[in-house]
Order: sequence, then C-alpha cells, then structure tokens
Amino acid sequence: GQKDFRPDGSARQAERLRRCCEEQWRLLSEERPERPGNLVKAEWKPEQGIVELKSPAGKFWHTMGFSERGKQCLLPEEALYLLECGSVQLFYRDLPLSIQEAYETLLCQEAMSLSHYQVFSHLKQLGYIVLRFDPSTVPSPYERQLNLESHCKSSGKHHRKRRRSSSPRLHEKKHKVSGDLPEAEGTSNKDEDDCGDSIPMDEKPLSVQPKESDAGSAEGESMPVPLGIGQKDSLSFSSSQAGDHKEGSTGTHAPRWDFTTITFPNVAPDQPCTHLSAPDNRLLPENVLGREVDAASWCTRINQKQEKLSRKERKQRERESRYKSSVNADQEVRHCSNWQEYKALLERRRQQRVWKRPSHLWDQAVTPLLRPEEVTSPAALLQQISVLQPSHILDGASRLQEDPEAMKIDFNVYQADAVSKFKKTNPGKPHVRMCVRSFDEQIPSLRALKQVTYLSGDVPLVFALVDHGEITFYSLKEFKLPVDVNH
Amino acid sequence: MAEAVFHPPRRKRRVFESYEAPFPVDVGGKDFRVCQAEIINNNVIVRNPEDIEQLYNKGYFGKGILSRSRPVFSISDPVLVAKWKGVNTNMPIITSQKYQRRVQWARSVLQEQGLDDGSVTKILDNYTKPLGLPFSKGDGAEQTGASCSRASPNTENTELCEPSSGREDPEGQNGGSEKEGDAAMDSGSGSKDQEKGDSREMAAGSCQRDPPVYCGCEVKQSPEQRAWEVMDSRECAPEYVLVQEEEEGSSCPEDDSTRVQENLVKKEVLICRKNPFRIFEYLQLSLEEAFFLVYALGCLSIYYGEEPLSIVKLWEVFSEVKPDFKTTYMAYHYFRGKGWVPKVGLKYGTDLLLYRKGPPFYHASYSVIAELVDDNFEGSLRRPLSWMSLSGLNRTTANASKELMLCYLIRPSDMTAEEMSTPECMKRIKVQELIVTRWVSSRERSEQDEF
Repeated sequence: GQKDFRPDGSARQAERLRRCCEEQWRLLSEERPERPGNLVKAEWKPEQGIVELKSPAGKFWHTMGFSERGKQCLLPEEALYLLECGSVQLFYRDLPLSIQEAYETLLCQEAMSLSHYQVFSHLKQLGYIVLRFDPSTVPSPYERQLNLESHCKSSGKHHRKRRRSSSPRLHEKKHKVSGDLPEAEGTSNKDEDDCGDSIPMDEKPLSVQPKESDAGSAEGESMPVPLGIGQKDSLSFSSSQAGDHKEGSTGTHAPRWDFTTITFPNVAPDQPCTHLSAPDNRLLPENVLGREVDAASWCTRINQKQEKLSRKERKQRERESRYKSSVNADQEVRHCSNWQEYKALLERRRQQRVWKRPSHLWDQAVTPLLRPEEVTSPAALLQQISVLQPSHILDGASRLQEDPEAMKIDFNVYQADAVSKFKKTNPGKPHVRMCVRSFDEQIPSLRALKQVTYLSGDVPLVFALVDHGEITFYSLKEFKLPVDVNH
Repeated sequence: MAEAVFHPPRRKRRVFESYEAPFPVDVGGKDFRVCQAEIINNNVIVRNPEDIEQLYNKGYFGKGILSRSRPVFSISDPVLVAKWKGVNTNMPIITSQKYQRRVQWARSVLQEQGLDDGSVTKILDNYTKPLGLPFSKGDGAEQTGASCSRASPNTENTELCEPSSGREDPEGQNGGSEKEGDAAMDSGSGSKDQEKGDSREMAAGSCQRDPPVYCGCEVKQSPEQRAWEVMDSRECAPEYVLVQEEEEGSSCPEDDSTRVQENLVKKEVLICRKNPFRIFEYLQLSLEEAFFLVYALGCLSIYYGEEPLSIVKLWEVFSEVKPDFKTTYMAYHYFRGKGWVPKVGLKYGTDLLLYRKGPPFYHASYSVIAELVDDNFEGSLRRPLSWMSLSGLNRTTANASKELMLCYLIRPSDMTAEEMSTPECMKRIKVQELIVTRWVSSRERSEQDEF
C-alpha cells in the first residue's frame, strides 16, 4: 500500500514496524547451508593484515587474491566479501568467525574501513572487479608519452617500429597559448601503436618554454627530453600572447633613422621636383659621395613610355574615375608631410565618421575592450573581448604531488565484461578509479582535485560517497565550454 | 582522465522570436549606438524605450521590471482582448473598474499637489473624456477611432500614440483617415491652459502638442516635479486605452450585443480614453550585465545623477555594492566571450544559467557556480559545499535538465589588491570549468557510460 512517510504514533504503524523488523532479523539469522566441500578454509593473519587460504581457492581466484611466499592469500575486504557470499570459511585462532565477528576483526585497518568495504562490496555485487589502488602502477606522464605502457603490456615482444609520424612530440613545439595547456582535445595521439590512450600532455616539465605562468615554482621534474606540448587548442580565443612571451622577434626597436628629417624627392610626372638637394652624408655608404643636382634634364627622360592599357584596364579606369579621385587632390592630405601625419589624419576622419566616443569611457586609463571598427565578424568580436585565459585540470598538478595531505585513491575498478580476459598479474587500465569519501565531508578543493586527478593518470576518477550503507557516485570532470558563434 | 562530454542544448519546441544579433553593437562599427542607463538605489536602470529594445533584443540583456523577462508590460486585459477580437487595435483594452482605479490614483496625486477638489475634478474630467467614437462589437476597422491613435496635426511626431509596452509596430495599420473636429484634436488644442496645472502624467500628455522642448511641465510651479521630467518626448506621450464600459442610451440597434437579454440591453462598448496614470516599464540590468556592456562592448553609459561613470569607477562602485562582484563578473565575462548568454541563476541556487543564443531559443544548459581561488588552487569559498549539498544541488539541476558546472577563477598569488582594482586584472586570470556528473554503478548503465 501507500508508504508511511513519518511516524504517526498509531499502534497499527508500530505493529507493522515491529513485524518488519522481526522478519528482517529472522532472515539474517537464517543459516545458509553450504556444501562443506566447497567452502574454502582461510585463516586471518592479523600481523600481516591478510587472510591465508588453507585449502585451494575456488573460482574467485580468477579475479581476487594474490600469492605470497607460495601461499594463496586474500585481502581483508576480499575475504569478508567471500565470507558473506558463503564461499569461504574464515578462521582465527582455530575458531570460525561469524560475519559479525569478521566485520569487526578485519575492518579495523586504516586502509579498509567500513565505508571502504561497503563500496567494495557494492561494486563486487554488481560484477565489477575491484582491486586496491597502487600509485606505483600508474605510468608517469613521461612513460605514457613514450608509450611504455604498451611495452609493459607486451613484455617480451619486440619494440614496435616507431614511425616518424609517431614522434611528433620530440620536436619542440612552441605553442602560442600561454603557460600550460595540455592537449585538452583528447586524442591527437598520432602513434600507430594501439595503446590508444589519449595522452594528456603534461605541462612545463616537458618543454623548455621560457615563459612560466606558474611563476616562481621550480620544476618538479627536469626531464631531459624537451617534448612539445599540446599542439592545438582550437577552443582558445584568448589573446593571451603576452608581450613578454614572444621571443622578441617582433619587438619594437627605436628606429635608427628619424624619417621626419629625411626627405625623399618625388619625381613623379604630376609632381615634378627637379631640384634634389645633397643627401645627408650619414645616409650614404662610406665611399659614395652625394651632391645636389638639378634633375630637370633627367625628368624629361623618364616616364617616356605611354602606358598602354588593355581595353579591360581602360574600362576599369573609366569606372573608377567616376568614383575615385586622387588622394592628393585633398588639401588636408597635402598638408601631411609624412606617413605618420597622414595616418593620423585618416584616424581623425574615421573617428568623426564612425561615432562620437564617449570621453568618460575612452579618455581614461581603462577603455572598453571592443574596437568596433576593427572587427568584421562576430567571431572576431568574441576574440577581442576574450581576455580570460583557459586552464586545464592538470595544469600545475604535477607540482602538487609532494603533498602528504593529498587525497588517496582507493580502488581500481574493472568492468564486469572484462572478466573473461582479466589477468590478475596484468590487469591493464581500469575502467575507473574510486575515492571513497563520506557524505558530510566538503567536496575536494580545486587543489585536491588536481592532485588526485593527476594521480589517477589517464583513468577517470569517481568519488564514492557513503552514507550509512547508501552509496552514491559523483565525478568532477574537466570541461571546456565550446565557443558558440554561428547562431 | 576523461573530460566531460558536451551535450548540445535542446531547442525549444515553440520559438516565437527571431534572432537579431548577439550583441547590441554592429559589427564593422557603423551606426554605433551608445545606450544610457542610470544608477538608482544601487540598481542599473534603462529608461529609454529604444535603448531597452536594443539591449534586450540583441543579447538578452536585462529584465523588464514589470515582466518575467522581456519587457512586455501592458495593462491590457487578455480576456478582454480576446473578447473584442473583432476590433483592430493596438491599444490596451481594460475594464472600466481598472480605469477608474487609475483615475483615483491620478486624483490623489493631484490632491497631493495641493489642488482643490474642484480643479482636480475639472482636470480629470477633461483629461479622461472619451475620444473618438466608441467601439461596439462588430465594428469594423473603419471605426477604430483612428483619430485617437494618430498624432495631432500640430506635431510631426507620429509615434506618440504607441502603447507603453514594447510592441514595435506602429498603430498605422488602424486604417481610416483622421477625422477633423474630433475629440482628440479638440482636447489637444483647447486644453493647453488647463493642463498647465496638471500632474506629471497628464502634463506629459501636453508635451505632445508642443514641440518636445517646451514640455508643458516646464511651466509648472512646483520645482520638485521638474526632477521627474527627465523623460524624452516619447515617454511624454499619453497612453490611449480602450475602456470597456456600458453604453448609456444605446442607439445602435443593429449592433449585436454580447449579452443576449431582452429589451433593456446594456450594450458594452469600448471607449477610447487617455490613461491618466501611466506606468512606464524600465529595463533593469544586473551589475554584471551592465558592466559588460560598458567595459567589453563600450555601448552603454551609466550615469549617477548627471555624471557618467568611468570604467574603473564602475568596477569600484559595483564591488562595493556586491562584495563578490568581481568573481561573478569574471565568470559572466568569460561565458559571454564564448558566445553564450548568462542569466542570473537565483532560481536554481547557483550564480549563472547559461543559455545558448538566448532564453527564447534553447533551454538553459548549464547552471554555474563561480569561485575565486589563488594559484595554489585554494581560496575561501563563497559557497563551501559538502558532498551532501552538492548532491542536492545536482539533483535539482538534473531535474531541470541542466548540468551543474563549477567555474574556478584562478588568480596569481602575486596579484595585488591594486591590480584587482581594475578590470584589466582579468588578463591574468585563468578559468577552470568542471562538470559535476553522477556515475551510476548499476551494470546496465555502465555500458552506455561516457567513460
């Protein structure tokens, strides 16, 4: 019938509750018959914190357990789980442990608390393969880039032939976007190997970029090989090319010549200037003398050829002459004695023509970002106003690794349908990794998130939240909102 | 590490609007219009109707203070409009009761000005007298009383009779020619003297007759009312409404009546009158929207009193009004720079809602919380969240078909307070976006998982 949402103090409700509880106790206390032959005997070894099998393991050995000094062993959570399943019988000091006792005894370590076990059990019941996380098994970014993973997998095989195209990263690619931007787009793994991992390029340690946005932090690792970094960031609109980032190739030097004092004679047919003064000696090479001259006689000898225009050209000229006029016909232009002045004139005119810029916005230290006359498309407009720079979750993460307070990853989880191919000795890359946390904890700071994401390598990370037996899973994933221009 | 997949937003099934432009600036710099806004009580208000249209239609900036989002306030009663479908008009249609209420309000305003009852009544009666022929049901377009919807012949301004709402199309489609000697004109020319003592609303009406400069308001005695007369001529225009009233002494037997009763049928007619208590709807801009229009686009000037404020000043003032302004603004600016339309996220417990293109076209896709951290990626959070709260927030967000996004603004530790006192500090700020997703462990789901 209808659910009861809250206690209403009635006797009927109390009775219903009592009967439910009774039923539950009865079920729990039922003895589960098992064939004794199938039960694997195992002994709890508190000094080592593990469980040693006393009889050969069953089917579960395919995905659980490990060998140590010739003996088959189980981790406490595995043993407890198998006990609950009815697959093993646990002994301690020659006495079998009840489930209750087993919970109390085996789950007293820091590494495997009750919440951890609950997550483990939940996932196991769904068919996942769950192993403890071991940081040393995560290939470092360097190793990943060199695809050492594949070598680990195919140990004993020959090195795969490395084709030229597979090592683009050996070229030092200077990328324009400031600071650390690993390949946020995932797969530009040009390797022909079928490691197939999308390699998140790590940031600075791997290249000799002069500019460091995390200024002041020393490099954690000094890699010998300068590897280029994320070649593309097509989503970045930020004009983040800070002036100091460029190699100085486009630096503005003060010109050596003051062009305002150097005159260039104009010997065009419409502006005959026949008197050419002596050029400044400083402008001339050493062994060249200059003198003033009257070029009138020369002028009669240049511009001789009649320009013969093709019919098409003539027609075009006719058309243009209707609308165009000589720029020199403009008096104001004539008053300009050099390009600088001419450009200033153009600017003034443009401003008058376009709109009146409000002075309280434009005659100030900080002016609006958009210069409307400079943008010709909506995309260009967005580019002008995008001043904030993007950041990737792994940026700066490597230098956070030495933190002892860093969050720990608890489990590697493999998918159920990978069971048949699963090899305990070489499990491969997990489907996800788990961090077990409690519901009333604060969500990880960005710092903690970066640390633990880096630690997880290229495997997605999930937070398992335990609340009195209920488990929910969340993940906080890197994201880049795409630019939307074409509406 | 996996990245969140971008799920394109869903288009709304019925879209009633057409898209004009992403921003109220013309690409190319021609016809650049600088809109005006004022700060009143720490709020940014835009009053000029043209500016309002420009800002809302191109980029969906702001919110009409009397509307849900787009400023479409009208006192028109939709039930009556439906009832009088046959009448071709753009004027609001209201009940007699509603109209009388406004007359009462105007009366009390006039009384506050110290006018005696006699004058008040006289003024009101004159102002509210019927204009043109009353409308009956079944009247065709010819009798739309085009007189009252046309400008008086004294002025050239043909847009004066627009109703206060944001409707664009002029009343020109009310056909019919101007009728001379009608009430509108009479009241126009004859009432100039009487209207000198009017309240601001009605004096606003007199503006129509004179050139806008000589607002009837200027001859007013009380100086405090001058302060209200910053309106432009368009706002001074009177609002014409159609009031549904019972006709006295009906003499149109051929008209069909709404109520089929026997002999004494009180016919309902629509009478055109001037609204003596007009309410103007303004556009309110959030601080982030206002600042963006000024700083990023340069197409808005914000005045405090008479003085337009500079960008740096606005940055400072807004930060005082809203302590977290810089953080929320940076997030706003970032998303606008990506071509998305951020609106306030109050209804979902977050800072921003991101729309693609604009609210009328797509459902909001993302619900964003913005936080400012230093370059150790820590900081005092505006909204410290436990997993429990995050879970709740995620649930409500997911129920509304949105995705929850955390937007971290990373500020270099060597950034001084002085540097942060101008918006140029944004050039050194980095943005990290994260999407919160729930992972479902049950096996059937995991197959389709995006991992």
